[in-house]
Parts: sequence; C-alpha cells; structure tokens
Amino acid sequence: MQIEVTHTPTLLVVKVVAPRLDAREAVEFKAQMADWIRQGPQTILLNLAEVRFIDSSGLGAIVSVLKLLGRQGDLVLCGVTEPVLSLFKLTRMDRVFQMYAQESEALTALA
Amino acid sequence: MQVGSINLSIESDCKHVALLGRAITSLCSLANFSDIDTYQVELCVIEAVNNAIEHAYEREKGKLVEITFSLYQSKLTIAICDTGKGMDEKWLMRDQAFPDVDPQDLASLPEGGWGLAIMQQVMDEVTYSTSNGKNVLTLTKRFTPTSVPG
Repeated sequence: MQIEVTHTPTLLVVKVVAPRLDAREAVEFKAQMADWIRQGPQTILLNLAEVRFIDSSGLGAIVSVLKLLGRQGDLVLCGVTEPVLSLFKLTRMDRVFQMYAQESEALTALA
Repeated sequence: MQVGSINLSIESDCKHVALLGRAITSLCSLANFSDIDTYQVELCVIEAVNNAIEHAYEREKGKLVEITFSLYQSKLTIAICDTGKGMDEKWLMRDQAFPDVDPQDLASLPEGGWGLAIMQQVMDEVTYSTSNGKNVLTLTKRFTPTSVPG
C-alpha cells in the first residue's frame, strides 16, 4: 500500500495513495500507522481523497489507529468521498471522527 | 422479468476480492443506481465474500467463492456461494443492529462486526440457505427502472 507522509510543525499528514482500503490492505495500513505512532503521541491527519473504496476491515483499521493514539493524540480525516462517508454514517463512525472536506481546510483548522 | 445473469468465481484469497469489486461496480452501472448506491452494493458483496473466505473457509486458500449476478427490470440479486462451514441461519437472519457509539470512550469503539448489519441496512432483502453442502447468501436491491439494456 502506498502512503505519502508529510510532517508539519503540529501534525503528521498521511495520504493513502491507493484506490482501496480493504481486508487485503488493512493489516499493512495498521502496521505502518503503528510504526509512526510509536514515535510519540501526535495528531495525525489522514487524507482519504484518493480512496474510492473502504470495507468494514478498512474502517476497523482506521478505528484501531484512533484507539492506538489514545487521548494523547488524535486522528482527523479529510477528503472522504461521499460514498465512503456513507459507510461512516451507516456504522455511526461519523460521530467519532473529526472530518474536513479538504486537506487545506483541515491544515488551517488544526494549525 | 430477468434481463440477464452472469456467474463469476474467485479463489478464497483476499487478493482476488478487489477485482471482483470492480466487476460488481461495472455491472451495477446497468441499474439505475446513484454513486452511493453502487458503492454500497459493492460493499455488501465484498463483506459477504470476505465472510465466506474468513469464516466459511477459515482463510484456507484454493477454495471457490461463486457469485451470480442477476439483473431484472427493477431489481438485482447477487448470490454469494461457498462450500465451507455453514452459519446458523436463525442467528444470521436476526435483525443486526449497529452498536451504539460513545466517541468519548475510545476503548469501547468497535473495530469490526459490521458486515451483516451493513447488508441488512443497505439491501432490500438478505436471505441465507444451506443445501447439499452449499451455502448461499442472496442479496436483493430494487431500483427505479429506466432503460435497462436487454
């Protein structure tokens, strides 16, 4: 799974450069995110703009990253497409994550 | 009236599931679905296929998962078949609720177990049967007909 990472003074911006976050990709995604989280508590902005499809395994992986960060950090989402957002709404996970339509909007809000 | 039907099959390995998803999305373009409907139908099929691989075949590779996509004038049905371990039909057909979510209680947040509830919420009908060692989960979604290709 291809992931692009950018560090800002306050954030780790992680962009998933893949069309799917599904059962096949979820394990590797979690492992990569866990590696960064081990470097210390932080706020991660996860850009999902290029992800066309997420299944329940992919969603579970995103939730597990939030839990791994704990109260010392946070996981904020941006660029979630309308179809993928419908999965968050179905499972009520839209209540759990702070979301922004655009990465630029999130960067301004979280700066 | 049935417009057409196609059979697809994949080996029980999650590396084949994405290609199946692409095929289902393409087939859904024959129905009058929005982008969200199309995504959700693909999602339900993928959840059902993942269940077959993970639970019916217990992740054993080299087994077959067969998918029959049937298009009618105002509905489509997708049957997902496996020959692995069957599920309890009564449990499966119970109303599956999404667990309550407390965003303040991180430890309590679910990390899975949504598959069947998603299918029941998105599809108009979900049925499951086992006969002669074959398990069949059938998903039905209705749509407003426009001009369905013959």
